[in-house]
Amino acid sequence: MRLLIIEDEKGLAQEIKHFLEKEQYKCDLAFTGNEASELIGINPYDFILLDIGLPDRNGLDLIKEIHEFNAEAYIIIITARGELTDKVNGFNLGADDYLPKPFSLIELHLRIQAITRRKFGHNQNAIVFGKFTIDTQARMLNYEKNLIDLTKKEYDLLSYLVLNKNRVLDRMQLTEHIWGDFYEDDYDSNYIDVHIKNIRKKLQKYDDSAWIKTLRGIGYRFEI
Amino acid sequence: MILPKTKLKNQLAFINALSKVLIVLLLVFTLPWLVSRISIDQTDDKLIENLDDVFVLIDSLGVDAFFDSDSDFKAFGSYNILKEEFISIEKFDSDSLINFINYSQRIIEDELVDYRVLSYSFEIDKEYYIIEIGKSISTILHFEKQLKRWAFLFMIILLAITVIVEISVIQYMLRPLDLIVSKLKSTSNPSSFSFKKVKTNTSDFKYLEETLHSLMHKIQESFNNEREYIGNVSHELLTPVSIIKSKLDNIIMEGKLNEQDMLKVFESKKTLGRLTKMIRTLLTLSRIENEEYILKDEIDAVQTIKSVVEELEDRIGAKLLNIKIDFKEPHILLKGNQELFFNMVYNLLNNAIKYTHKGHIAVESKVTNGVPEIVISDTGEGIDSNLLPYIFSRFRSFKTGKDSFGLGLALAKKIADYHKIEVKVISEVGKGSKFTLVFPDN
Repeated sequence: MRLLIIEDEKGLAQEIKHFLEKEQYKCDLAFTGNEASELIGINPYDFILLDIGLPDRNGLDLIKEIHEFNAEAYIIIITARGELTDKVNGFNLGADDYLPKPFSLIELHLRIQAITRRKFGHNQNAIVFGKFTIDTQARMLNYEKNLIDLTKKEYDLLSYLVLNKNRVLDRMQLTEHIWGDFYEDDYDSNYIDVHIKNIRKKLQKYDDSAWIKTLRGIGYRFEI
Repeated sequence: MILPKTKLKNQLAFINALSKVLIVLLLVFTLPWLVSRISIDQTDDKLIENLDDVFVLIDSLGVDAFFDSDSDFKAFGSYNILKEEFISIEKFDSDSLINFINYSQRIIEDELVDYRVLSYSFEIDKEYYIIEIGKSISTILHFEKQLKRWAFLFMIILLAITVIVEISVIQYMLRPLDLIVSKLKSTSNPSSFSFKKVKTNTSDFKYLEETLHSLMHKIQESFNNEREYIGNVSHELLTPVSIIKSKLDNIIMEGKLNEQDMLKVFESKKTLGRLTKMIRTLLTLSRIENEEYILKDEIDAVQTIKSVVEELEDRIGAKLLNIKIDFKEPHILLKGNQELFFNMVYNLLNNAIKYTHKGHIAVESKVTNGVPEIVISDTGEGIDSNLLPYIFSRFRSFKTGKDSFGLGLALAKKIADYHKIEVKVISEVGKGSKFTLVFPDN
């Protein structure tokens, strides 16, 4: 997977690169619109992360250029809110996804994975742990042939943990993921814990393994 | 000024009509009097002329020529057939000299007639005589009566015609002003102002319109600057936040830190999260103030509340609270912005959950006196009546409690205002709060 990160804020661009390279992506950086324009013309990319608030170029023009020279690339727009109005949202600009700043790197990774799964067809829609299968298309969890009844939030939480297996997900990342824009900043409240407790109960009916490890005060880690 | 809250053209028409009525009343009462006064003066002049004529006769013929010489009774009288005039000369018992004109009623051939009578006494050969010359004024009195009646009618007609004509002239002349006013009325937002020129030759209106246009241009410009500014501020603030957040994400995920350090990093992330939420809410507030959100979605308020309740059900459950739902009105429809409306209801309900520790949250939809309402009540902490007026202010912090009301309620109120929804709050410390959303009646 080859990625181009177009972001004028070097600190942020490097941080994204650092994270994604660990996830085995090959990343190029462009700090200006002109640099980006050059790279788009030369290299084929699978993903392009585009901050549309660039100082030297209009982000919308860059999208046109990407469509022209790098038609295969998936575009994820990253932007500070308020730059886009109701009338123009990320999607009708011709982007595949849209992330408002500040976003969590895990969330970014998840979006990339989701697009990748869409791109490579249905086989990738199943995530397996033990004898459990998560069908990301149908949003369902099965144990062998048994459907396990999860609420929407429980499903979101579990699939998020599984997709980021063996990695600490803090309460903030979990909260922001399941409540989206409407997350509350009371990350210490026990809403997440209640959900995790319920998920554990439902999994334990079939399999006694301690899939979800608690990091006190911080968050959870799905271990496999 | 004269009539409160009335259009200029109506005021002008009113003043115009009023002054005309005054003039007409004045004329109706003074004109007949004036006319009769003039006629009487003329009659008097005529009487004096006639007296002179009589004296010419007396001088040439002598006074005795007028009297019947056979009779002892020295008197002469004559009147014409129509009794318009009479003259009488007789001996006068008094030796005083009189000379005056006055009104007098005389009976001539059994008929009472109104006369203007000149009485004049004179002396010849030690004998005193009196001459009375009378002219009937019944025609004058009749004319005066008629004049009173007809003048009144005529004036009313004249009044009506002139008032109608003048009102239409005023209407026509003030039409540009009307157009300018209606242009302003239809402008809810400077950006929707129409710069189409109103046709007028009146320099005042031209000046007024030109000034308005140039002011509107300036407002639009600063409006756009403001919008750009908000965009820039959000970029400038959120980008650094984003950098810190990514760095902290990387530190935690690498998992190299011990648990204690990890907690510290997580604490920093939480603080950053609060900051982010605050910036975003402030941005939303500014964007609402700038009317950047378009109110074009067909919203079913009850449906939206249902989905908010669904969204928050786990929080209600986690706090072991009950939720009571009573949708007496199954649909409350309005035009607005779905995202904002959801946000408002979410904030209100979330707030209720946050400050309620036992008991229940109740959500109700109903119609009171034809006006749709949504009531969100709780059995929570309640709000002190002293603080009640400030709960919608931004960043108002109170020493009494652990929390300020923060931005959630300020945002909810701002969104309600934007949708012309009234928010009523009743609260009692220790018993709970009740927020009522009163929807615009359409």
